[in-house]
Amino acid sequence: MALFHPIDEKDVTRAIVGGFMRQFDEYAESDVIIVGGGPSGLIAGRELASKGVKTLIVERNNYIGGGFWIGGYLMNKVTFRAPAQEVLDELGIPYEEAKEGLYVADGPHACSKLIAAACDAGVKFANMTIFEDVVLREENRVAGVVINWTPIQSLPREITCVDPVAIECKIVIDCTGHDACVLSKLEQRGLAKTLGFGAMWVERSEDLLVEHTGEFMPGLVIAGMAVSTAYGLPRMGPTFGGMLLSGKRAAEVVMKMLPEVVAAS
Amino acid sequence: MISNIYIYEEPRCSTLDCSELVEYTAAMIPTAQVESRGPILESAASDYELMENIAGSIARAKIRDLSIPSPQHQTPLSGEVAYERQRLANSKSSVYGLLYDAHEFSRLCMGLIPESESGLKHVHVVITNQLIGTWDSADRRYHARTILCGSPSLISISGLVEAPAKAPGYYLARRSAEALGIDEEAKVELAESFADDCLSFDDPRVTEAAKGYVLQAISHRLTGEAFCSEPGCRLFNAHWQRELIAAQLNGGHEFCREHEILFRRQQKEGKA
Repeated sequence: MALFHPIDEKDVTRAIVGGFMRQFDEYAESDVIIVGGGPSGLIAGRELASKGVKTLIVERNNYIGGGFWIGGYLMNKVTFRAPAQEVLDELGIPYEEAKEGLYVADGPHACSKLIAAACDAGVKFANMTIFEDVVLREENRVAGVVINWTPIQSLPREITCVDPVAIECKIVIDCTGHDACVLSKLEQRGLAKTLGFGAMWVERSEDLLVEHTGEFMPGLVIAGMAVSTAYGLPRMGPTFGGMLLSGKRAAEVVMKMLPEVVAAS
Repeated sequence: MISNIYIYEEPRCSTLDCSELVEYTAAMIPTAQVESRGPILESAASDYELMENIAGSIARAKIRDLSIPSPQHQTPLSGEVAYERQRLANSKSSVYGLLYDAHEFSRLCMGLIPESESGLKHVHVVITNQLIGTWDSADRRYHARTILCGSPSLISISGLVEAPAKAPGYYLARRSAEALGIDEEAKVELAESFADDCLSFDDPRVTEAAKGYVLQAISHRLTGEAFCSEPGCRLFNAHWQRELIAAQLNGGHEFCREHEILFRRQQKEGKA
């Protein structure tokens, strides 16, 4: 007797295509699009979706989680400074206290739990999807993103023209890390300015990152390492508390912005 | 002669006892009326328009690049102004990690001082947690400072910790740790191993150390000179943490002979 229920290949294909198209159709317009599926993006998504905000995360890699799988020097332990361990407690991520105020967790376990928490809250993902451009509305308000399949970047242009598509939202959160992709695109267009990395006072960089997280321009919130790039804050070492608290802070800012954006539209 | 000394407190530094500073200063300069005041930027918190102006001014004073002088012409990003506005509105927000042009910050504070309290008889000393720096045209870069003497004078609590350099061994050990990718725990242990030789944030010795810097501001007003070249004197301009600790905390005597005479004269005039 066969182990699995008999199904034709076409049924499998239709299940994949149908499920994907329904979601893609539904999320052609959402409340919030988060560009970047690393720790700050995931926690922001989880916070927002758990409050009923329709949230889509765009991630250029096949895998979600960004740099959260491993710590420094490719060692797969991730560290957090207090009070970030409170977020680990919320997510049920086990950790050990390395020293007073410093905690360490397994990267794979922490990252898996965070991804699961985002999914459980209702976040949807568009992975293997690259951000190409922003959608702008009146007075250069950011109102969406232009996306394409990540592998398109590897195709020579002579083969074919592979146009992107645009998806809309009320607020975009740039969680693309050091690259600050959304910000950089706006800077290319002359609509924003970033200050690049600063070299001073590394010990304070996590505090500054969280404190600077917020609205960068109408329709755009920045979180995570993109904040450092935006404001020229000092580089950080391999510690993730700032990413988690920055993501939470971004979600708080978005919750305050959303009613105003809805009222304005 | 100085008639009034105003010391503006910094509530963000939990170990700073402004009343002790006032008491010490009053004992040293009995001819003056010495009073403590709330944070100089406190008035901004209740006035929205004033807060916006001040937030913009502080954001403009932020030093983005140590190698570029005079930031007052830079246009701050709206997020930078928002950050300063948020800090002004939240008295508990700590001020760490950024360097501000000391002269720009002093100009901002001067604009908040009533005209009736300006002039040579009035000494305003603003204690701040902001790290301040001044441009050095000799090596063409900004340097963090503990004190800027002027009108008003600024004393940076962060500057007490960050401006005078730690022992060379600390920096060598830290560079080695960073190059090896050593974790945060090791860095904390490194800082702790040098704790006796330098001040730290929220150090219980901050108030005692700050006394000497208040006197530097007063000396600047009395004589035009803030600093002394004698390492054991409270008015010594420490460039190393060890020098600061020796001058302010561990010295066998409080002043050099010259400044002993200066402040003794002030005390005699007060009794006359």
